[in-house]
Amino acid sequence: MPDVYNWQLGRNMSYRFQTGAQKRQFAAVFNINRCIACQTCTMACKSTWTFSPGQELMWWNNVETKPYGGYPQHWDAKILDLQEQANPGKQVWDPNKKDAKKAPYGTFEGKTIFETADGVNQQATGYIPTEDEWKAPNIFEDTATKYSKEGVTLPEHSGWFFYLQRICNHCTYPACVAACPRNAAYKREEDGIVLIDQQRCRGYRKCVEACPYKKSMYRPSTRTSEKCIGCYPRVEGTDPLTDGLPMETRCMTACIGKIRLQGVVNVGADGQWVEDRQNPLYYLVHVAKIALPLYPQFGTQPNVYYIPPRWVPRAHLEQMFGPGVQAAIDAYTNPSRETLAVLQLFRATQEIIFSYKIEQGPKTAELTIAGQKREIYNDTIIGYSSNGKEVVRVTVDEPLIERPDRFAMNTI
Amino acid sequence: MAEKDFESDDPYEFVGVRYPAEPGTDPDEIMARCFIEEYALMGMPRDRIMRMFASPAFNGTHSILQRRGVEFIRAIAEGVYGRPAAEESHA
Repeated sequence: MPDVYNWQLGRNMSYRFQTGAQKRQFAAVFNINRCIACQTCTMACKSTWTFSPGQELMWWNNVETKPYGGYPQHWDAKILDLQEQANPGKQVWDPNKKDAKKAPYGTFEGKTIFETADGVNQQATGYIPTEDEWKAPNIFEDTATKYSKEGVTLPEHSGWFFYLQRICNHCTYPACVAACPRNAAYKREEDGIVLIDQQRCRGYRKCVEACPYKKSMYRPSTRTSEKCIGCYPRVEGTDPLTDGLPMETRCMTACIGKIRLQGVVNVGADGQWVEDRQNPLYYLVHVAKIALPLYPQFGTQPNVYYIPPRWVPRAHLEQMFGPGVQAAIDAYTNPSRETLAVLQLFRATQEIIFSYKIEQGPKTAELTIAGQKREIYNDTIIGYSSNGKEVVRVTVDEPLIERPDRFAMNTI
Repeated sequence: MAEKDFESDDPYEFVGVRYPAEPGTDPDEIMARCFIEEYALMGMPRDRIMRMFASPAFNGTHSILQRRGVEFIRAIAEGVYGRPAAEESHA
């Protein structure tokens, strides 16, 4: 099997295919701190792509309540458990084996899902969820009253939880692609979006089994597997709304909490992101380092990144996002002047932002954030599309629009 | 919410329970600070933030105020914004 480099793990690993053909990569950053689980993204996706017979249990985008929720139920706990069984006590990171570019989070000393698989029956360690596990996304996730002896009603912050937004990660080393015996699952050269060719697929469900994020799903009415297609007609710019400019996916543009930013980054011959300092995604992931991959230890090098929730115990977050958590939270909690401006680009426009420029504004406040004194400036950030056209202009000071209480009280 | 009692062998049944915060941490303080600092960084003035805690329309923030009292919130806001100008002039 070819040896490929996984920068999220800080080391080489085995993968079924060699990298090198890909030119660009679909990527996104989700700010968990601002998600209210309104499920607008979920419904935007559902009403666009999965509203047909046989897709009833299929949610390409879902938002689940962590740590107890999951779609399918317990997906991450089950994969973590399988990995632990395969390599007991050794699924650990060495955060000291670090390199700013090649291993920014340290080095993963354990085994990936490709390395724990036997390579014959399975290309990647995984399992096929039962039908029941797919059936009830979100049920009782926020209303756990009966099993708590204290009778606590959530949400109430005597405990903790957070919302995890999930779509296909369009991984650099997708387990679904590695597992497909018919090569029906493939990764597009032009943008790295991972698709399943419905003509070739025969519904063996190897992708459903292999994807550690459980984002390949079986459709009984067609007897094929389906998955998030990254709204590729929009990303290609073929939607008439934007006159040929690449557009963000439905789930991203529907986000009312403005927690999502999606784009496309350039990829080099080694399969890694090419340095592009003014691309907001490159900046957040590789420069500011405030956005981290979900379960990087699985080894698929996922391309959806998360700004971790600042209130959650670090041990839990480190298992989920790797050893870069504390540094990411520090960088988010007290953001640099540039980061503060870039955060305003989230869901500010439907067009994909390929680069940005910041115009400095006046000082507006002196605050003490996370115990440190700092000055706040009302800078203006300008986003540009693929052809250099200005597509958005926003300021750090967000306009405040508050509904009168008499309307707010009527919302439930 | 279902009216019937929960049954542990129901395959759709929720099996989790709440996760308590780490010992030595104050979840109310962490969340109140989170709200105040997030909005302060986006330019929201102090009085608007205090209103968000006072208004029952904002359930999350208001429940913290109900549990811990207005002085608790005011102290965190003061730590972020400094003392209000009116109070400083009286001091």
